[in-house]
Amino acid sequence: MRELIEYIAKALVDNPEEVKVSEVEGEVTSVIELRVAKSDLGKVIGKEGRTARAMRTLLTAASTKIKKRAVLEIIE
Amino acid sequence: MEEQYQEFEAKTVDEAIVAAMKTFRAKFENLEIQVISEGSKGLFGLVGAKAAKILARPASRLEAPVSQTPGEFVPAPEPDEEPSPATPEDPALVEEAKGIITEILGRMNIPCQLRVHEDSTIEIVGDGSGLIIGKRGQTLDSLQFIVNRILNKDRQEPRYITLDTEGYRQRHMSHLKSLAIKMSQKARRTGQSVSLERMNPYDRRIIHLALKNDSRVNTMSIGDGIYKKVVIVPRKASK
Repeated sequence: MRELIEYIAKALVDNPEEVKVSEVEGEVTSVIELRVAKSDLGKVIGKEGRTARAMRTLLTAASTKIKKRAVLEIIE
Repeated sequence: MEEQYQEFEAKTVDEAIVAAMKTFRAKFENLEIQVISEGSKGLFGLVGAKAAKILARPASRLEAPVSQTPGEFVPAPEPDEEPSPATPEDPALVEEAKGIITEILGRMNIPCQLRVHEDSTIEIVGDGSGLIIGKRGQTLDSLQFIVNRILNKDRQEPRYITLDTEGYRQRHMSHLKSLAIKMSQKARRTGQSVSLERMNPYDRRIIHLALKNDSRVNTMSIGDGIYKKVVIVPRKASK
């Protein structure tokens, strides 16, 4: 799950080297924390949060497949 | 001069339209369709089931005929007005998109193959579980959105690709189409506006175009943001 978000975020931003993704794994639910450069925040959130929502949808689909849950937190 | 209408019968209007598209080897936009009967499942699908019936023919290449039989609804092909996924003829773009899709689906642990169609739509051939489609196509739309985002990050002129899987796009389009027709009938019958649920711009466009040539109803989008509602308003008969 971490790799999925990392790949997408790095492909979207201008400063991929500043993309940091960590995963806090729980029994069922894991939390994925995404950090990007301040100037890239808009790139991963998108207009009206559309990009963030799309990433969350993909994350949900991928975790459903392994019968888990994952939450994406974008850290400012 | 013009091709004759042909009749199609199926369980639902959707299926009848798909059958028509197959017969004429035409896309949905290039067909003129009249719904004769919507069909009904009957009681428990056993008693009184009625088949849906439509008339369809390929739209004429030139301008759509202006003098339609009054009271009949015939959609005409339309030039693109709103942003819609364009058809790229650029093989490099398609290759780039395929690379991105493979990377993403690989990280989602979804094994799949990619097939490129003539119209440059990239079809994801998966296990048929519907996982890639998601609820109301959400997952497929999200994937398409992100792929286009990545593709156009450094591009001056944006180019868009369309993703499909398990024939979803075509099914969804004919579903929207028959929904538009059904709801316009409801609007006329009741004399009241019918508002549809919130949709993305591309889906709204299909609804607007489907009812564009129906002089008995008006359509408009209301709401803020990307997802708006389409409202179908019956026109007053005399005024």
